[in-house]
Amino acid sequence: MAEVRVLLDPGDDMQVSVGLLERHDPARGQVVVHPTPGARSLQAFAHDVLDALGRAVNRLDAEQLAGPAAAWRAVTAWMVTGQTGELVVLRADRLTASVWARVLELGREAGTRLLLVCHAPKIPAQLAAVLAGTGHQVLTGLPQVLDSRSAYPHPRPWPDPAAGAEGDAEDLPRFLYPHIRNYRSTAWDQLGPAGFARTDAVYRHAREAACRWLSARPAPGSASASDQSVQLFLAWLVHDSPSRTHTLARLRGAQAGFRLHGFKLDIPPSQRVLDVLSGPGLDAPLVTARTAGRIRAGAAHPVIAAGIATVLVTGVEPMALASMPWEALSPQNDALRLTWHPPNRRLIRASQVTARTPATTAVFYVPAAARPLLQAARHFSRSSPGHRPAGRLFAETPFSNEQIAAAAANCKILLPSQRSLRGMWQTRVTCTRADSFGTRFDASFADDQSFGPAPWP
Amino acid sequence: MSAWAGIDERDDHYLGLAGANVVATEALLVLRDNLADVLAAKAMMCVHGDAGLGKTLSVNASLRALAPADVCRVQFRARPTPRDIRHVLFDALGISGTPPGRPIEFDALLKDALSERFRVLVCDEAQWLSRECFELWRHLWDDRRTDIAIVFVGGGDCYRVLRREPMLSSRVYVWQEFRRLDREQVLAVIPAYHPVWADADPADIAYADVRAGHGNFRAWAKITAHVVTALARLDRGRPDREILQWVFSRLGGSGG
Repeated sequence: MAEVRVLLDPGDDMQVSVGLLERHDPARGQVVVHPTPGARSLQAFAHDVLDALGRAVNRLDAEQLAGPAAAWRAVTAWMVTGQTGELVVLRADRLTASVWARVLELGREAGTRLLLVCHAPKIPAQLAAVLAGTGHQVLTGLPQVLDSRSAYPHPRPWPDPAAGAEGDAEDLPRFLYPHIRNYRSTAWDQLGPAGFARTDAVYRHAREAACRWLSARPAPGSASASDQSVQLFLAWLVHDSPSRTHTLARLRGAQAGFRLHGFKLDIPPSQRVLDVLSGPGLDAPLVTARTAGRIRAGAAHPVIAAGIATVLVTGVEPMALASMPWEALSPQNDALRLTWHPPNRRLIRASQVTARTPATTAVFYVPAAARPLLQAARHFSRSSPGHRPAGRLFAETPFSNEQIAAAAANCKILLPSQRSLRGMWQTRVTCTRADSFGTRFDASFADDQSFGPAPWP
Repeated sequence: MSAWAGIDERDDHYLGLAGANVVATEALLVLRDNLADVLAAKAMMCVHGDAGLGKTLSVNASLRALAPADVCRVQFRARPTPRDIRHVLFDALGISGTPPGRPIEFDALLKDALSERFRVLVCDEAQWLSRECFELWRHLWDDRRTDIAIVFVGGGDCYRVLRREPMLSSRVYVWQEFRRLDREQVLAVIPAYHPVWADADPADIAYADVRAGHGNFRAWAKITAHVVTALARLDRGRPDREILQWVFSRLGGSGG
């Protein structure tokens, strides 16, 4: 049972309301609900809570959150998966008993401490009856509220939205050389000292990351499951890359790391990585804490918010994701595995129409900032009476390109426009065990890895 | 502010009386000081008193001097609902588009507009407001984002209506009552109020106040309008008892 307190404010003192409103800080788990005057229904109060949580309330009809059931499910999903330590409700004496009952239920479900502020000498009788069995505490002054706060564990603040990892690094020189055998020495020859230094720093950083990853886990093999784990690692490696040339340098560095551990990692040709292909590190926008904050501020529906985040993570338009099953999302919300059947362009017999081409899987790393959005969508969907664990991830809301684009526009976010997963670079990655490429190759590769440039003439 | 731009100084005067001046009564001077404090504190104020004592004119004139670009004036003739107030504010703030249907969306829009820059909201005839209406004003004012001062102006039992609402009692920074001018104030103020009284015999002014003026500016505006007409028709330079008798006959039995 979450703690329930009632603050009596018989004089309707400005200092009480304003003092509490000044403490409103959703990012730090302190949420103050200031109910809309003249609106006393269950759904109106749910909308007030969504507003207090910082969710947009200007598209409630468009997001199908106008009704009480969906609105309360959204409130609960955000509260349970958020970090709301305390929910303060001003003007509580003007709310109905059914709203109080629902608020108490919300506090229990979300584990959130409640402070109900009655601007009256005593709790109205019909509301006091709702409190039976809650073990509530009655406070008579703002100092009591503020004094007792220090004993309550303060929730961790959200990451600073300004601390996003948007790339601001200068682009690296364009370097298409494909061979890992003498990649570094060739980079030195072609890029000169400054270009080499910048490219090589990125390359070596990625190489070391690959070595660390390979040392810490069972060896990948040629099985598709292992290929997917390699995809996930590479998607993580480049997800916050500031440019395509950085991504290419990171992938080349990863190739070297894999080679050092006896693996042959094949990636798409350099020119296609730089100019043609899509995916993480190339054209999929990075979901930072700031991006997630904009999604929260522009979308009230958890599934729509998760949809926008997923479109950004994958870089494909909403329709390409509409049928995505729940099993595509890892339990920790940190990876997406999207499987699709590329269209077969060959002419085929009519009898073969039903035969599908082999499935292809693209794996995406979900940045930490996006995971709470997916978790909220998971909670919202599970709370649906008709929820099917094997159903679609976005079944709870219409998921057309237009609908998600409109929601994203409300978040001031421009969505990527890739129409399918076909151009994702990571689906073209293969990883195979190869202890030796031959004496000459291995010797040359070893020399290149220890290559130290001489002073530039 | 559009709601303010439509009101020029002449509109402040009852009947739009040509030639009337805004007279620096003691009440107006106090009001100007009070409003300056209220604006500085971004607080609430209540200006109350019987009808015709110059409350609205004084508030308009003072705010025209203190914050001409920041005033949003709204007025209600009958008992308004919160919905009415939202719509009037929507228009007065010059918000474009269609007013939202849902109160929470409406309030969010109003708060956005009221947080753009400082504004003084003047709510005239505040005695007509219900508790729910006051809740809306309080809600907008309490919101952390909004940057507003609110001036309630009302006649009749405005003071009683606002005082019985604890939410306003604790928030109104200044209460100011407008009272009838006493005889001494009438004799000092009326000659400056309109040129027709500039050379009038003080005894005639006192006589007019006893018969019809009653220290009330609105009554004096009516008297003055009729005096202006009479002087023009009779081609006289200043009012005398004969003129005043004619005026009183037009004003009815009580003279007012």
